[in-house]
Amino acid sequence: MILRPRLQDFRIIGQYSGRMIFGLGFLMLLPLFVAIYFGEFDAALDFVIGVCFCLIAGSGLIMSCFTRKELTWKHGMVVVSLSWLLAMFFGAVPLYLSRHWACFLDACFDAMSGFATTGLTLVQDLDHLSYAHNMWRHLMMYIGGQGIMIVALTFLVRGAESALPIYVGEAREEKVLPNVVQTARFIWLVSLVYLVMGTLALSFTAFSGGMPTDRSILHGLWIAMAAWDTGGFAPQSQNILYYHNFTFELITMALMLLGSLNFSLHFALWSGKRKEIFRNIETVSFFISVTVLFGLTGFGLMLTRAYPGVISLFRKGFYQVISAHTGTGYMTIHPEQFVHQWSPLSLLGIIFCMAIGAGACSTAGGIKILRIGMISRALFRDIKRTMLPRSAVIIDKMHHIKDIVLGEKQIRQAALIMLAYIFLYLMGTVVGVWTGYPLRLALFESVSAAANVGLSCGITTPAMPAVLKVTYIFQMWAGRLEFVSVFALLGTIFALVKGK
Amino acid sequence: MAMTGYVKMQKAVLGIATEILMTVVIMLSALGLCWLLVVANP
Repeated sequence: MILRPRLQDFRIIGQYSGRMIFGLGFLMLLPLFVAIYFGEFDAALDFVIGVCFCLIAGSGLIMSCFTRKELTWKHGMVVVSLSWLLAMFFGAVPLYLSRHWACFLDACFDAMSGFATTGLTLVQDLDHLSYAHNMWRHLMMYIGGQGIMIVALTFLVRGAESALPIYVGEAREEKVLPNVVQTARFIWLVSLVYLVMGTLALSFTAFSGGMPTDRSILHGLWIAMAAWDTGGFAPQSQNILYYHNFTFELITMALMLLGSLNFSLHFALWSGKRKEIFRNIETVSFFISVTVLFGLTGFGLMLTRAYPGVISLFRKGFYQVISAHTGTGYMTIHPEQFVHQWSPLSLLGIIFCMAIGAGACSTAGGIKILRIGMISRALFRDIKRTMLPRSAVIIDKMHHIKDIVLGEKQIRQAALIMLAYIFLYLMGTVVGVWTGYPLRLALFESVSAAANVGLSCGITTPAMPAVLKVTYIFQMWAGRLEFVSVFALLGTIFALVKGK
Repeated sequence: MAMTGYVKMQKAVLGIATEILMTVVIMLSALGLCWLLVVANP
């Protein structure tokens, strides 16, 4: 028998969702200050309206849903998935008011793309977007990469007990530190350290290349935010190609790789366990995967002689492979070049990179390299089992921060999530083909959206059919949250309708 | 207490250096692979 949610359940969900919206309003103050500083008064008004919306709606929810009850697992999962949808709606308000997005759906698309660190965009005339709106786009990406609710955990949640369901609901299963609030604060520490380092390096590079000081600092900050969070938003329509700077590309590559590392691995390395980098199943699997898939992609590129030189192959070929594998979506080529210059073999290599993704408990998307590593080990173990006597006992271990016995439960969980991702990729592909796009391009764009990568072969434009925009929004949302909290929300809606 | 904090910071700095070195190694390996691909396909 399915139990219908009670009023108390809605109060709890409403209160925590209200806190998140309230917090979002405060975050909008930063782009508001940027607008005032640079004299962008039209943009300032957009953010004043956005801030007011968030504060009024947020405080309204908090006051009307006031309760002293703590979050349970069920509530936490629903709060996370609902909060992400609400963040998308409220985050889209200042974007839509700028008139750089054709309709509110397009603004919602970009807001979800930002929070989910995807990087696909429907903005029109990005090159003339205000500094304030660019700051908001990149701030959404930075906050989303950390986890909207992690921000809440750091500042708004009282106790660790309430925090755990929220933390897990945002697809972070690993606790870096024993207490999830401490874990959230460590994640912020790492992110801020690399943000400062990345901003300084990129700003200096841009300034040395002739960019004015204020633009260098802003571009350095925004690119560092989006590279570390493996997001892929850029302040110019040509993406990283705009800068035409090898040093810039190298720094962004380093930031993408660093951002795709598991936060538990960061903690281990920062605590002095430097050998972890050679022993960890994620780093070993990632290295193997990048080597094999770049071999495949590079071979495909050599077939078409797209980039005949070593440096051009590195800057155009390897850069896209790293961008895809880390789930960033930064491009040093035009989207049309994927269609006209890249062979189907190299496109397939990129699709595999996007689908696999990078470290679990990182800012990256996709199936996650840890699950691929676990499933691969399970496969080898099963092959070994068929070759050994029946009575042989095989205990398989993997090293991920510590030695872990690879049990059936972990393998089953990894395989189920992998299947869910594959289903999501195929679902988007079917909708893409149904709306008239060729199969390989529909598959490319679908995987890019669902794995929160952001590379585009040209399908994602404002002229895209609305049904495909809604499909990609759903894919970005479900892919980012890794399904569990999304199913919890859908289950609650089902229980509301059918429950007793 | 101050010594503990200093030791922690030292470990963190070495950790950051290790991570950055790892990215450099990956990029150099990729350059080597690019060279192999170009040389193998004259």
